[in-house]
Amino acid sequence: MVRRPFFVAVAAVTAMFAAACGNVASSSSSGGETPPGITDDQITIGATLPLTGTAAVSGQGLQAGMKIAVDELNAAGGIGGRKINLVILDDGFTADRVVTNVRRLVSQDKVYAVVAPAGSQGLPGTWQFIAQNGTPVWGPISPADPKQREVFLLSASRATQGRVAIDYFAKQGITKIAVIKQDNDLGVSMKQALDLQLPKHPEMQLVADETQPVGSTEVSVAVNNVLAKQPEAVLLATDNTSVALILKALRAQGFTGPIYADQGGGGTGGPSTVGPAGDAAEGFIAGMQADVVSTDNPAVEHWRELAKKYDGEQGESGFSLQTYSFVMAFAELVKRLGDDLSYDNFVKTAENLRNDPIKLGTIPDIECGPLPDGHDCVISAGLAKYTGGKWVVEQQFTAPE
Amino acid sequence: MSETAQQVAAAKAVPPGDGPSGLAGAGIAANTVPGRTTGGSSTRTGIIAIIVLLALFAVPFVANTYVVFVVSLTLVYAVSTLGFNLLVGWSGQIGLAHAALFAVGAYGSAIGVEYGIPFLLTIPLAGIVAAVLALVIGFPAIRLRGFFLAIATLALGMAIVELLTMARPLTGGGGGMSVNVWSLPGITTAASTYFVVLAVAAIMFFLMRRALLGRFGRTLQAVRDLGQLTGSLGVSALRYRLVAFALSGFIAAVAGTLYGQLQTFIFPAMFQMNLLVPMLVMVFVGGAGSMWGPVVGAAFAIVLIEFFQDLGDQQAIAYGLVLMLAISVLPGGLTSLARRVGDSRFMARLRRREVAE
Amino acid sequence: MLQTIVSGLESGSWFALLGLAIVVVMKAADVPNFAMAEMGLVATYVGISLAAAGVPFWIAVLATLITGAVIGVLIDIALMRRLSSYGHFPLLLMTIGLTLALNAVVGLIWGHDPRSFPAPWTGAAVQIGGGVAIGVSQIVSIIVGLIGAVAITAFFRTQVGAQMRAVAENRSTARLIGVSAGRLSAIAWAVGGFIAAVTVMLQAQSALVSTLSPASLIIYGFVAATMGGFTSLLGTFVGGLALGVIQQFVGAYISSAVQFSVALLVVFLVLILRPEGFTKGMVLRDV
Repeated sequence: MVRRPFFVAVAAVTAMFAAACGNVASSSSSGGETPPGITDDQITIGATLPLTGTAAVSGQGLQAGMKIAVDELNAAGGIGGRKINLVILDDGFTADRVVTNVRRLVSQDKVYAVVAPAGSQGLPGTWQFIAQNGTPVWGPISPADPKQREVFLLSASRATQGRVAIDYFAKQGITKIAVIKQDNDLGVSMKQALDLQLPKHPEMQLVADETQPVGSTEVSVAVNNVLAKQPEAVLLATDNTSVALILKALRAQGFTGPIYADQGGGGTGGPSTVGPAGDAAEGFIAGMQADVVSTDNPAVEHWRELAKKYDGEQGESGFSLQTYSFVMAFAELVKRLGDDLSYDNFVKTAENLRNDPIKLGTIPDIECGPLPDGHDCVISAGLAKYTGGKWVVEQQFTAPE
Repeated sequence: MSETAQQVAAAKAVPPGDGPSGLAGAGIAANTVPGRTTGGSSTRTGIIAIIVLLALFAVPFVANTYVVFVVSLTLVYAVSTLGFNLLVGWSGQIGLAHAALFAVGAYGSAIGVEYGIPFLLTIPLAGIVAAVLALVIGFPAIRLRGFFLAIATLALGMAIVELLTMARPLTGGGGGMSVNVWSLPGITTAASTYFVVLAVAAIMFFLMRRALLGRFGRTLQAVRDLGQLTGSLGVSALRYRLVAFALSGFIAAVAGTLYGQLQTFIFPAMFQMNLLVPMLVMVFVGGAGSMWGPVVGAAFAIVLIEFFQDLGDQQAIAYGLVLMLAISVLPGGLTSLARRVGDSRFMARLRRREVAE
Repeated sequence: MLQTIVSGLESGSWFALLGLAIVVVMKAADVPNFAMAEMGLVATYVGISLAAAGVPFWIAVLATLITGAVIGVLIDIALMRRLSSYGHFPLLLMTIGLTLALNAVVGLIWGHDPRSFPAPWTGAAVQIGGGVAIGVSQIVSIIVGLIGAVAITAFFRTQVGAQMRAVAENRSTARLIGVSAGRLSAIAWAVGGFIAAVTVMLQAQSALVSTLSPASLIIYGFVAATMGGFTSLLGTFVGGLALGVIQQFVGAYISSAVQFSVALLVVFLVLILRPEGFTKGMVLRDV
């Protein structure tokens, strides 16, 4: 009486064991076989984005760009006759949901590639899993370069933007710079930029290096400390709110030198930082990963047309242009793959971009090369300035020295 | 003062671990020991446990990596909630350093492995480190009760996370560190991690069940329900309070080591309020002081989030509202629903009929 | 140096006011309200929207304060009161659920971009000798903080305030002498919501607020309340101010990275050394 269910269970489990061993046995991921997410008339791609939570503004912009691009491509017949099926999952800007979502995209939604996923601190938690599956990650938003076969970075990283900004200040004859950073991945990137670029400008000196607590609206300590050292320029590696507050505080205390933040913190092209900063934003310099600023760039104007028609939030933000460009570049790359859509060919073709870059006009040319450093495909960044109530290009896309 | 009086009255009226209601006036919406069982039904419980275990064992053979991952995560949170529930539910102390002790497990294991300690060994080692830390954190428990203890432990938990940020050479600071994943040879990493998680979860639940359904659990409840009057019980009450802290810290860290294996990359900001809140929700939903509640709570919290995926922008609100609604309707947690049905007049009549037959 | 002190007193006033709001609700309703900063945020955003729509500044301010009080009463009646018989844990969790929901509602209605509540004096500064400038909004924060503390202390000396203390001391006895605990808890929540609205509004007038900012503000509010032992108004107020100033000095002379840790250390020390708060106020309850 008591034993029977037990044996039934054992038998059932044994049967499942025998039937489905392939699910558990490890197979070395070879890129040669037919990849998932591809049918005769469809290609599935996916992303995880912070549509809710503290980074919702950027998440909605990133989503907008992807949708605009996919709609445009599908209206024109898709990629090589295959319509794009876009799967977007929300991670609420929490790390464990980024990890969960990427697993869902790869093993349940069976995407061909993960395109433009966000979550700069959560994404590193997916690299090991990605390596086991071989799924390409095309254009993740601003993580540090894992130097991994599957991962291709398409934006100037925060560190690259910082290096370009340091070069720019050096060119202006500035010798004393100060830094205010957060103790997270933003701060790590800024430290990288300083470590790489300061030795190239021996006349330049880091006079103050302050750490601003994450999420705190209390900036006066860092600002007072920086001002006490009388720098000529200040570089910020903090989130939008902090950048806006620090701008206000620095200007309120009479600081007149240039102030820099990267595209994320500066909200280049949009109002997310300069709006709250008000008058203090005059002269503010921000990094530029995508040319959301200029008004005479035909490629950008084309996107802007489409973005105006987009039904949703943040369609015309810099984030939108960024992911729009990444999806367009992805379509271009897949076209170049021809009939062989295997991951081996994907990686090989992508690594060959150094000889024949993808030129979109909206972002710097994409020129990936072989590992270890080649997957950081875009090594130039621009600088934009906010002046007279609008953004203007201060320096075109330039590679750091 | 009146509250204490109520507690005493309640505790006197219903001996701890014996009655389903009557303890509502105590510091925690108290629950009964679900295993007030006689010999026959305890065999049944054992068989159910084995079947559940076998079914869980089969998961990686039939499901994809995503499902395996979600189930792994659920089990890890269930183990963590087991420890949290021991503290909050069984011993009645609202200690809020649980997320930080969980972090100690994740970091301890990752750092230990980097220094050449085998992963499996780091599980108990990290647990012991966290247990000692939990003891230190629990010391205010000697003087503090209720919300004061909550605030003090919350502050200490945050301080631990701050320390992890500052210990840059060991932990990589705020930028985070990657975790070496241990894996059984011959099977996929996802399945391997899953089996480790399952084995550890099974062991923890088995041991805790034995402890909580025995003298230890009863004493904990007595200490909780008598509140300040345990003065007469003297030092031993105090000792039980601290043991609850240490044990719950140990379990938190064990769960943390597994969490690190699942996440493969950890950073301090993961372990702040954004983790503590779901942990509290899991304890609450499962029912503070129940035995199997932690599994229910963890599954609820994880699965709910996965279902809310489709709600888009509204899901953050939905989460808060569902939580508020749940608390309003069922202040004793989700598992109290089953008990409420069980205690209803209808069920009582049924039971009486059984006896009569 | 002077600038450091003024900045410290300014943020200290916010911590102190929020701490007072927490203590008032704790005293009368026995709830540690984690949603206090979010309540203030909702009220402030209502005010910001009104001001942006052209409503005169002082009317927008008044609307903000009333909104704060109304939210408080609604929360008490709709959510908290019925839970009080179930002990501490559901109450604690309810305020956390409320925090999540209010924050999400603000994000949905007003977005996540930071905002300010410009006052006529925002941006103005008073020059003091030696090239030191002090913002008028800083002075306003400090003065409003002082007024708030005095007003609340006076409130607890009125008959209603005395009844509130009686309720906190002993619910059943209070009922015997004919005090309606329900009415008093509604008043306490109204006062709490009102002060929370003042706090976040002051913050929005001299800095910025967003869905992110309540998270750190509430912790500092709780630190201030802890310094008053959750009962002493004076202790909470002085504690909040001290916390602000300590933080500024730690940031200026040690490192801005450890500011938060120092606040936590303060909580721990106070709780270990003087659980009743570092000023021996009226100890209302045996907790």
